[in-house]
Amino acid sequence: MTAAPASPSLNATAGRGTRAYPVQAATVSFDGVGKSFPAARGTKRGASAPGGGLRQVLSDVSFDVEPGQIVSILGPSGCGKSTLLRAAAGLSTATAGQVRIDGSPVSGIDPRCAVGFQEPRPLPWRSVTDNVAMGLPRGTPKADGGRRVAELIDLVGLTGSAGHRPAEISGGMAQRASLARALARNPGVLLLDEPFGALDALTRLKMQDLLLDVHAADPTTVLMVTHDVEEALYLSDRVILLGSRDPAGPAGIAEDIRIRVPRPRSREDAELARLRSHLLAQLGVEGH
Amino acid sequence: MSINTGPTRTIDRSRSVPEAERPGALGPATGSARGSGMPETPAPVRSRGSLLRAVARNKWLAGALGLALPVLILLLWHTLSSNGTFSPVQLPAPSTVLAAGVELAQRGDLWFNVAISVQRVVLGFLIGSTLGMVLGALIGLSRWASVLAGPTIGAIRAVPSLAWVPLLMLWIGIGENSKVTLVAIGAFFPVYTTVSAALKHVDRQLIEAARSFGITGLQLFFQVQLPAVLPSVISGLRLALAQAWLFLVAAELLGAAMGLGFLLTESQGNGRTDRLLLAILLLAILGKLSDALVGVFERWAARRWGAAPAA
Ligand SMILES: Nc1ncnc2c1ncn2[C@@H]1O[C@H](COP(=O)(O)OP(=O)(O)OP(=O)(O)O)[C@@H](O)[C@H]1O
Ligand SMILES: [Mg+2]
Repeated sequence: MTAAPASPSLNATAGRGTRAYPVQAATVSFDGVGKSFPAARGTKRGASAPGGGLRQVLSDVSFDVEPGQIVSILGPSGCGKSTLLRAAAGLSTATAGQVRIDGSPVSGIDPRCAVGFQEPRPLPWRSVTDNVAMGLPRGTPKADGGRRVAELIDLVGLTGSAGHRPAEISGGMAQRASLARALARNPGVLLLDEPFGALDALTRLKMQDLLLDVHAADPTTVLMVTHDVEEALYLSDRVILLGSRDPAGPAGIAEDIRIRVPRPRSREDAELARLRSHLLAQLGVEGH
Repeated sequence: MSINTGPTRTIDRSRSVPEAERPGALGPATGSARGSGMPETPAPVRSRGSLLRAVARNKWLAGALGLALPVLILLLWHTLSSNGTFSPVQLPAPSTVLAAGVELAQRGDLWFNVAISVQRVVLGFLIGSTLGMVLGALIGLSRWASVLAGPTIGAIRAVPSLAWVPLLMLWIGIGENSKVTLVAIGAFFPVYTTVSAALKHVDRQLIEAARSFGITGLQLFFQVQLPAVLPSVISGLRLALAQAWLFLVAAELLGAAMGLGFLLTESQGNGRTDRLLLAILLLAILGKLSDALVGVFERWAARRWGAAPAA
């Protein structure tokens, strides 16, 4: 019997082996969530605007995300996808209803969540490595943390730029670093806001597979915003389509689709293609 | 047989982005420099002259060129004072000024005056800039403090600082304390203003991102807010130092028995233009030296806090 040579493929240590504190995938429940913002200056207020100068963006959004599921939120730009994700993260509070994680209401920034923001938001004065390390759970032993960060940086393909500052890397690279930072958290709920939005087509496909690999190794709950229908269908167990019939009115759940195609999925899968046409039609893009 | 058995999952590394697509491998030149971890030298700007490029690369050459103008001024000064354009009382020769310096140094007066002035500046600057940082941080970070105390501090700032002199003399007397206090007032406001304004304008998205990763309170201050405002703090300190010297001279001109400002008034009184010029030269040298010390602090802080260099 010979010991296996140091294999170039990452084994399970990348996913969960180095965990100091294994985290359970959590349930996320949206319970009649609504959100209003103060109406922008310059628009009519008071009497003519119902709600006293408030503009309602989301109304009565209710759904449960089961532990370990990947759920995508789709919808046109400006419909409130980021707003919904921020409510789950506790970065802003819902003006109606509530979000619960494992049954307990979210109030304030929730340590069970890790957020990959729509903009990468790295600390400009820190190297890529140090930015990713910021995501590590508090109290991670230094050696473990360093190893984990290096693995994640390798996974997202940034090893060559690990020592660079954010100003020295591209937008797509910064977004990958931001994904690695969120993954470093090892959260109960991973909240990703268009995590692949700034990537070129090829890197994007690779990062989607990477996310599936990381998820397979460590099946946490993933709630992801995207505007890419194919991406949503390829990755998710379930797709929530946000929208409203009245363009000026608040958005709610327009469609809630469970995708039962087993993984690994083919991007050409017939069922996915059917759902794609359906969703595109819902989004107002006909003729595909 | 592999020893890697058991219910472990394998993440296939081949799915991560291959090296060829990584930025380090883009071109042979950058690829080798980055790959080997060599320090990157900024590429010279092609469109500029080759001399300027050489100057940018060589610190000593740049230093020597910076001395060219002072030497020229010295020559001009020497010519104007020796060919009769100005009388020795109006403009003593550089050698006369040097002789005055040597004479004062031998009597011990020079070091004494320099030392007392430096001491006043250092004490006043430290007190003023520390208070400026603490209050600036308070006003910049706490909306309550800003609402309650901001306008008051702003009003105090609007008082031309020299207007405090008579009051300080009345309250504290003509001794060291009133001078140090005046210097501290001068150093306080630049630091206070820049720190409080910069802290109010730290990128909210960065703060939110850090908070979402559990960084709050003092950690947030030292890991995010302070590095973000460090370039402003440093420029505030620079301004404060210049103000400190300005206020020192003002305090010493208005009533002192020692110090460089006293040397100025005394020399004016007994017509010693050479000593007057000497005091001015010393102030220039001391000001430049102390500014260089802030530069040292700036580099140290950039290493310690990893701050972004001021853009
Ligand atoms: N802080 C805020 N104050 C006022 N209005 C806001 C605020 N944040 C978001 N909105 C409004 O809420 C609506 C939804 O914004 P949100 O960022 O959630 O959209 P989105 O679905 O994520 O869009 P995109 O796909 O372009 O990112 C927008 O019309 C926006 O103007
Ligand atoms: Mg958004």
